[in-house]
Amino acid sequence: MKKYLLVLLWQCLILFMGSIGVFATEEIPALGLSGEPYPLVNTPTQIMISHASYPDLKRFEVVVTYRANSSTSYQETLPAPNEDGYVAWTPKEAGIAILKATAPGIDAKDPVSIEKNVSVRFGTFPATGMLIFALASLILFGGLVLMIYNNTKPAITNED
Amino acid sequence: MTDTPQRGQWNSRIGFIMAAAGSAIGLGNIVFFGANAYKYGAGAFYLPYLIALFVVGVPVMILELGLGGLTRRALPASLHYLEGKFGEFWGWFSLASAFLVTMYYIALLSWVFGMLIGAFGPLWAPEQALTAFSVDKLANPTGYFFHMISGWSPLLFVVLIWAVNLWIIVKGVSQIEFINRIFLPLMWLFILLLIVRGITLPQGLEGLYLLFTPDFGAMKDIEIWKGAFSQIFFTLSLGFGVMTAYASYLPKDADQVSNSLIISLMNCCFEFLAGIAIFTMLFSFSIVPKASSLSMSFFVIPQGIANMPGGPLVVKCFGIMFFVLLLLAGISSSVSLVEAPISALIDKFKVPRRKIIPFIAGVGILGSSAFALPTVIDPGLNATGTLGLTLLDLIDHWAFSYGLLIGGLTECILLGWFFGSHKLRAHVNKHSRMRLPVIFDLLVKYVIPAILLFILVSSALQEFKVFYGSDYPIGQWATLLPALCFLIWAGGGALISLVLTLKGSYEEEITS
Repeated sequence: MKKYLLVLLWQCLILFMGSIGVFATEEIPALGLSGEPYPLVNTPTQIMISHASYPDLKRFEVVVTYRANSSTSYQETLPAPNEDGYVAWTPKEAGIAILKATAPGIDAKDPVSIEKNVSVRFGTFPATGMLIFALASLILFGGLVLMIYNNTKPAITNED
Repeated sequence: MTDTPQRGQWNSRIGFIMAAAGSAIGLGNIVFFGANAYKYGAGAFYLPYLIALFVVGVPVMILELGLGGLTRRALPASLHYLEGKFGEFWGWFSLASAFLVTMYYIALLSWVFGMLIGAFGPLWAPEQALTAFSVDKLANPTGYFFHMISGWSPLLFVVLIWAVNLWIIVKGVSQIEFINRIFLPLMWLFILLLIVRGITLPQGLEGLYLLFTPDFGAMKDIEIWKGAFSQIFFTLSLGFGVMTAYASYLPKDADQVSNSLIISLMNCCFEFLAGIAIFTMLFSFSIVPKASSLSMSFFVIPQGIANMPGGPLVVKCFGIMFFVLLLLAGISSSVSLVEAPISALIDKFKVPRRKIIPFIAGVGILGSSAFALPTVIDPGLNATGTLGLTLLDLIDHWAFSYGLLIGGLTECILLGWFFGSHKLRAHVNKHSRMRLPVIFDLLVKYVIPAILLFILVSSALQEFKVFYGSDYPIGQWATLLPALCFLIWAGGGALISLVLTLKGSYEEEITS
């Protein structure tokens, strides 16, 4: 009986060992920021590349796209990452930037590519932007309020 | 012109303003304006936008409302009054373009309805398995959208949305007024709630900075000016005869200058706020905007909502609210788009509204169903995926982008060069608190036609380089569909307009 129990235990152990392989998740290739999630414009930060199966992180090329999907979009290529996958980056412009790290494929496979969007903070109150906001609000909402106010007065008929 | 017994009248001025503003405020105001501003230099876009509003938007709005008020007829009859059958032909052509837009707009609303159903649960799952495409799985909300449009349920939703539109329209303008009195305040409430949520998100306020901080370098590009003038035309629903039809139900002594200013400003205020609501959220979740109503409505903004903090219930609530907002805005616009040809047909054939509605419903449902067809023609999802979405994209390019501008251009030419804009100005000034200055004549006769002609010609020149849609990766469909869609819009529109122009006459009515 003990022998059978031992065999059963052994089978369970094997099943358990096998299930570890099933449930263990492979590390997902990722781009991240070593500092705060919303970096500040003109303030240095570090981009971190992690890729468990890629042997040489130094081979990645990191390109930042500023103002993506706009008519004034432009790109900046960052220096090569160090062997731990860290790249120094000083955001040139506030807004939503796209970080893209690309490396040549291993054994003539497709290139490896990782992408991440980052919101770069303005930090200071953008005076020109807020002036435009205030003026546009004044014209649109001020105009609407004025028109509605004028139309609450009794009507005057103009006869030509 | 005398009144036909079938014509109704707005119950109140405020009701008319709400209905007209409801017509102007559509999906584009909520999702497109902010992304378009971002595309063209963010804060720098507001200068050309405001110039376009007062140089083109308000004058053409006065023209359309003035025309409706003067003749108390829909667009074809109004343009007939200006320049006989030649004018009437262009009126019908504008309405033909508008009806094509109505068909795909209702298909678009059927997808909004499908997404609304999804917002109660499956839309927020991380990914969606796709069976109709060669792509096995796709991240949501994109995956859910393509899964939905590759099924037959949107065809059922098309019938439902048409039924809602016809139910509103069948009782005439009083019902349209009643519905807009409910829809419009709700839309403002929802957009204010979205702003409050957007600004209170982590770094949400920075999204406001992003939307308004100018990139003045963009202003040197002629595209930004083209973008601003086109945006104003599209956002105010000009050139489709919708405003003329609505104004035709006003008393003759209505103040069209004030009405035009209030409707235009209300529309622009709404999209100004919607831009803030959307950008605060996009910045907080680092989502790049895209100047496309479809992408923003179904992919970009729902992606932002899916990231909302507070758990699945909060995500569901905001998702449902967003799609309800789109439905309200969409239906208040589609109602006006359906009403424009109905009022024109009532004018022309002197038949009751109830007799025209079955015909409009039949043709409309059939057309909208074509835009909701789930047949997959792009299995790799490299372009538009289904046949319906491809047709929508191609017809939108011609009927909306060109149709509106051609409509506006012909209105200005017929009024400015044939009828005389001073006559309309004199009529409008009789009943307005603010008198229209002489500059209105100059704008209608020279400035606006020149701007619209420039946009049209420069866009048409692009077509000679690459015919729109011919480079889509949709196999053999790419050789057939783009040309077919152009023919449906230009050829079909011209033929129908010609038939309707030659059939019957307004002469007796005008003489009387």
